Amino acid sequence: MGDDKDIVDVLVIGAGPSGAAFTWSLSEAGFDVLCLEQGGWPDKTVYPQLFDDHEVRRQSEWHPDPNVRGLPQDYPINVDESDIYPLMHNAVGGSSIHWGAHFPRFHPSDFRMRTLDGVGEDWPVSYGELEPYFDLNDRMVGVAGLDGDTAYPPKSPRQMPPLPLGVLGETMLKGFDRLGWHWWPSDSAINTAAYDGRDACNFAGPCELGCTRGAKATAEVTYWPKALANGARLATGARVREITVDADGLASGVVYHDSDGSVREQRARHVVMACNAVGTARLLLNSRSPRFPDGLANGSGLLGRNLMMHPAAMVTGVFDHEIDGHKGPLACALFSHQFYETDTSRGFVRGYGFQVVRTFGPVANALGGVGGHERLPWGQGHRIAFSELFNRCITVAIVCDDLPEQSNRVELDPELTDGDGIPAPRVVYKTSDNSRKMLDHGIARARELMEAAGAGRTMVNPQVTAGGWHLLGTARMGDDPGSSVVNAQGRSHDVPNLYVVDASIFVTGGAVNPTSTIQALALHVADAFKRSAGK
Amino acid sequence: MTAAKKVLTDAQRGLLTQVLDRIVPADGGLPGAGEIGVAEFVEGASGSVSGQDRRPREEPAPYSIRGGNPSATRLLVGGLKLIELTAGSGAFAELDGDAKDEVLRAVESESPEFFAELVRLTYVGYYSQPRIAAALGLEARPPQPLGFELEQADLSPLDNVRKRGPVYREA
Repeated sequence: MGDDKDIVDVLVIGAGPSGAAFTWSLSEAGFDVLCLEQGGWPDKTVYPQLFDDHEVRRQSEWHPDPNVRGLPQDYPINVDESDIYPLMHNAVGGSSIHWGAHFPRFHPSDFRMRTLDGVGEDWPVSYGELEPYFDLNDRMVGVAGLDGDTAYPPKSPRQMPPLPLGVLGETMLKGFDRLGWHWWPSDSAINTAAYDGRDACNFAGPCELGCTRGAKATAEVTYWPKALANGARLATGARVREITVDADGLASGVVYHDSDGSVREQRARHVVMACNAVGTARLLLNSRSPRFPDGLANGSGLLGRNLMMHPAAMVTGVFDHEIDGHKGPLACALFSHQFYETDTSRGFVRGYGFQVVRTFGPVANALGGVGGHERLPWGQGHRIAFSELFNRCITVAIVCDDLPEQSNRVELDPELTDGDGIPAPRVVYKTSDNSRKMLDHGIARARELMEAAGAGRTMVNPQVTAGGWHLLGTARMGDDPGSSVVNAQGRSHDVPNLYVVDASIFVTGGAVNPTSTIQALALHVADAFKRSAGK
Repeated sequence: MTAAKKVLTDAQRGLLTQVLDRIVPADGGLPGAGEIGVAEFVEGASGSVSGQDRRPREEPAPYSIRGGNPSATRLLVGGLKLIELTAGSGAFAELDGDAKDEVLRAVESESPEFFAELVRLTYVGYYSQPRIAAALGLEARPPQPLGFELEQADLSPLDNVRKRGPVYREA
């Protein structure tokens, strides 16, 4: 085993959106920070957007599912007992590389679910306490949007005008307007003008295949350059195997595999987890010792529990005019929070959001479209089926709030390992009755919406299996060490120099894409860390 | 992206080409999938290793289901043998279109995993070709670096949203 003799003050594991924001914040205050990332720096010169076969690459090495992608820096996930497959990317920038950059915040009510609705738990922080960090994060990434959204309390001015809606958006807004439902142009972490040295978007389309222009605010083009300029260090190809502990029960560093597969050790005064809600739970569960036989920071028994992944359904409308849905950012058009807040007359608690998404190209059209519908028939009927749908479809995603349930969990698979022999995670997730009712309600409303927008017919995907874009809740925060893993400052109740800053610490799931809230929380934890260190 | 590797005999490749022309047949000026060389793509996808952002360790992770693993090749070769067997010795090429489709439907029923993967790869290989994109009315180029024009819609209906007031709860 090779040893890095120097003891780093703060060791961050994971270079995605949360690890990047946290590292930058500490680097601004002069902390000695080292981040270990199992992936490498993305190479924009080989991003699929630049190649004719970009839709082929989406099916293979650029697939968001690590089980399909299977690159050396990925780890497998046993999903045999999961209704939803976790998606992620392992590289500097993390899953923001694949990210659609739809950038809503959680609602104020998401932080007070127990008080308002009698389900889940309240967070130990409020929307108001996080608001300065939402604003700071917005400035760091640059948000394109339109001020005055009635789904939120007044927000600080958006940095840039909203993305154009195009034919697709114009078609759908008429549907919302006819029904009298809320809709608004998406807050998007995508430049509509040059911002902070990064180019404006040129509406190429498939943002999930990497953004060659840097217009999408992925963590490796926003926080990381600034953090590195401040003196933070980032080591790639470093896959952490376990967190080590000393005789006092404090985290003492990590054991990791370097890019040659050699086992090395890095000592640290503080260890910070930023590996997403699957990766963080996996790594802490893998960090077992006589003192912590059930995994590190697991005194509550809740480590890995309460996994939330936002059950989603897709409804696609087929129109009689061209949509040009392949033009423009995939995930950022318009959205609706008409059914976001609890109305018990609907038969379920909490709610869902509509996210109108753009479309892929002809390959995806043949395979079932962005909605994940049935693959088109082969043979003589193929051409007619293809022509009916190609460039004629609009899809709305129904993204559901996801009540925390202990039975939905990440645990260690007894047999499966990654390429370095590290035990891999097994995910167990069953869609709850409340979520199913919510999905069905959303599907019915989405069909009304499509009809109002002029669709001739609709297609329904009742639940997206390969839809675990949002991984939340497996190391929840709270004031009570018996019912939470970390405190309101992201610090482990059991191991006082161990922190978690990714979405593992979410207490509830909300019904929106979480990255804005993830990064705001990471900045909040960073400030708490600095205060505790007297800076 | 891929390092194509040949895993089929000439006879198997010929059969595959005929099969692909039934999965996506020529129609209305558009060529069939076999006609434009999708067989090479299908074979390559079953016998190649692809990767981005690769670390020095060149071996695919053991759980990989990407091309390059022996099971994908076995699935393809075994499926083609099943087509031959179902059609009768050497007869697939001599059947008319409807009879070929009947054979393929029987194979689809008997070996759904093989056939589903074959259809998937056929669609991917066919519709990713620039000449097909052009025939569908798209610009035959990748999305970048040129991007596209996108117009802003008339946002005046947002006045109606504003008039209805907040839809969030104070907490």
